[in-house]
Formats: sequence, structure tokens, C-alpha cells
Amino acid sequence: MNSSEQSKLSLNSKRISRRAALKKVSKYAAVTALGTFLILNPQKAQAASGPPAPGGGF
Amino acid sequence: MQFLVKKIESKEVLWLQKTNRYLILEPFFMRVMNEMIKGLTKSELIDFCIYKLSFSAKKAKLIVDACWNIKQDNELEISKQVIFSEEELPAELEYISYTYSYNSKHLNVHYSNVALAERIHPKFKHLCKDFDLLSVFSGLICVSEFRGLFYLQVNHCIIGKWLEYDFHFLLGKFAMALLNLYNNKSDIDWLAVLHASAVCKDDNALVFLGKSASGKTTSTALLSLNGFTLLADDFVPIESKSIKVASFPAAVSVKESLFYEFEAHFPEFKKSRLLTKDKRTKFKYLYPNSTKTQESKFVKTKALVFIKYTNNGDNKLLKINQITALQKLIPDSWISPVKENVVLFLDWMEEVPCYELHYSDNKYLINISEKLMNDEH
Repeated sequence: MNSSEQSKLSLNSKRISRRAALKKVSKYAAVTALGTFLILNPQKAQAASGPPAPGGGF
Repeated sequence: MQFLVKKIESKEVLWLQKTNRYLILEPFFMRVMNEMIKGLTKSELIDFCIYKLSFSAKKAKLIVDACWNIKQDNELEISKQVIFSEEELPAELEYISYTYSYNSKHLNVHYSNVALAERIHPKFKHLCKDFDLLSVFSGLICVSEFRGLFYLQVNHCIIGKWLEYDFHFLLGKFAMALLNLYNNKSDIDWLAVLHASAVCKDDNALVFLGKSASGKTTSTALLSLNGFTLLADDFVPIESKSIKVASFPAAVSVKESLFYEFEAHFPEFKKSRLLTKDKRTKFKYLYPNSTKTQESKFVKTKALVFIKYTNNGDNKLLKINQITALQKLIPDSWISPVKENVVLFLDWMEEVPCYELHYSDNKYLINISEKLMNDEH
């Protein structure tokens, strides 16, 4: 997979880095601790369960 | 800021369109949000919190900062949908083909290699029909593996590509493609897809939700042995127009611990191929009775049941409030990001009875499910 494919894919899956995720969470941590506020994110796309790749074994 | 607000019980549920995010707020928090939307500055909002809502300066700042962050998050530009080019896939890929028939429609489904077919096809192989020259196909679905990526094409358009890590999203989109083509619909016609299992009886459905291994599949499979009809397992679509649960004809995956019980009730289950999920987990597919699963069904939801099976635990059913149910349901579901559908979703969630069921005894599960079906809400 080349880098342009990777960048298109990251647009598709809309993933964020761990650091960005922590920053996002901590932004609201103080106010959620007050018990007055709750954020809920639905799944970004429809998902279904299935067996893993053959031979993966985990 | 594009948003929707709905009061459910004592809370305000705020939906933010750009981020498709739901916030559950105390009413005072919504008052601050409203003032912010009217155009108050940060310091004006802090004064509002201190003088109108009697908060300390510290708490006022926390609340105003949170409101401001929500506003900023919702103003961020969300990346547009990626348009894929057909040229990404070589024309010379060879495919393994099947015809899946359901609801009087025939779909041509292609897999680009045996390993890929082995991962998806067993769940749908009961829909296979021998090729008939007179068959008119209602759609073509191609699943391809190429250069480490999995592609899904529906009627020759690439609708997505995923890495192995996101294979469950490919499966979700594959299921959506089947659902849409069998029912002549598109994604906009669905309110939500719940990670759940559903059964029905006399035009009423019970939807069982819960984390993986909570027992939802097992429960619905057991209920299907006791007078209920299985509607959908793992992937439960809710239609927008009718707010009804739609059937989805995938096979049910049954864990090894239940093989004996299922073999006793379904002779054909013995012949189902043994598959492995990981080194320790074996499962087999239970295929729906072909005479019962030919046509799509749309059934009203009688109750949402958040289920937890334990080996030796108590058997109890607790009514839970709508806000608790929202907290459990939203993070585990796909909910349509279309504003009209969100209105319908929140209206539905305000009304639908919700329960938490803990059980260890199968008889209790069957009796309580019967009772829920007969309850007048």
C-alpha cells in the first residue's frame, strides 16, 4: 500500500491519534466529573461480527 | 451550529449534526448552551452562570469551557466522503460467484478469492440458489482483496475499502448492501442498525442488546426453539418510515457450549460445518428454516432488553429508564446521521419500554420473554 492510499484510507476511517483522543477526552473530563454532562458517540459505520483472517489464530 | 434538542425524562438530549454526537445534559447546562447560541461571549456566559444560576466562579468556568469546546468541535470541518475510482481495482480479477435469494430477489455475489469467500459466505450460504437462466438479478455485490485492502463494490461502484483491522466494517457494509437490495432501499431509509439480536411473535418483536458474550445470540436462538421466530442476529436494522425492526437473513453463530442442545432440537445442525473464531472458540452456524425465511418482515418493537447471562447468577428483570437505555445503546449502534431520522430515533427511544435482564435459567428467559410480549405498556 503506498502513502497516497494510506492517506485516503485514513480519511475513510476517520481515525485519530492516541494523543488527540486523550486531548479530546481530557477537554471534557473536568465537567463530566461534575455528573452533569455525558457524551455519546454512535458507531461511525455499520459493523457486523465475523471470523478473523484464516491462519491468524488470534 | 446545527443541532437538535429533546427533553427525555429529566435530561436534555442534544444531538450535534456535524459530529453526529449525542450529549446528555442537565437542564441548566442546556440553558447555558442556549445563551451561547444566542451569541453571548465567554465572560458574559460565566457571569450568567454566577448570577443567574448561582454557581461558583470555578464551576461556572468549567461549564462555560465545556460549552465552548462543544461549539468548537461541532464547527470543525469533517472530511468529505471519499469517492473511489473503479480503476483502483484491476479488471482481470477472477471471482467465485454465488446467487443469494431472499424476498423474491436474486443477488449476484462475487468473492475475489477462496479465503475471502470462506470468511463471509458461510453466514449466507442458505440463501444460495442454483443458477437459473431465467433469474433476473436485482443487484451485484463484489468483495475483493487487492494489495492488502478489502474492497466492496455494489452494482459496479466501489463503496469502501478497508484494512484487515476494519474487516468488521466491511462486513457491516456488505450486510447493508444485502439489506438495501433485498428491500429496495438505501441507507437513508434506516434509522439505526443495532448490535443486537431480535425475535418476534404475532407482529411484536423483542430486541436483545448487550456487549459481546452477554448471551443475546444464545437467548434468541433458545427462544426460536420455543415459539418465537428469529428476526435477526448480530445486525438488527430499524426502518425509518415504520420504526419497525426488519428481518435480516444471516445465519446465527452458535458457540460450542450449546452444540449438544441445538443438535437435539435441530437435526440439521449436526451437519453444519465446525468453524473457529480463534484458537479456543469454535462455533457453527445455525441456518434459519428455509420455509420461514423467504420474505422480509417488519415488526413493531415491544421492548428493548439489555441482557446479561451468568452461569449461576440471579434471574431478574428490571425496568430501566430511557436515559440509561440511551447510554447503553448509542455507543454500540450505528444511528443514521440524517436529521429527520435522528428526530424519529429520539421519539422512538422516548417511548419504547427498556429492561435489563439477568438470567442463568433458560426457563426463566422463556417465561419472561412471553410475559414481555403479552404486557400492555
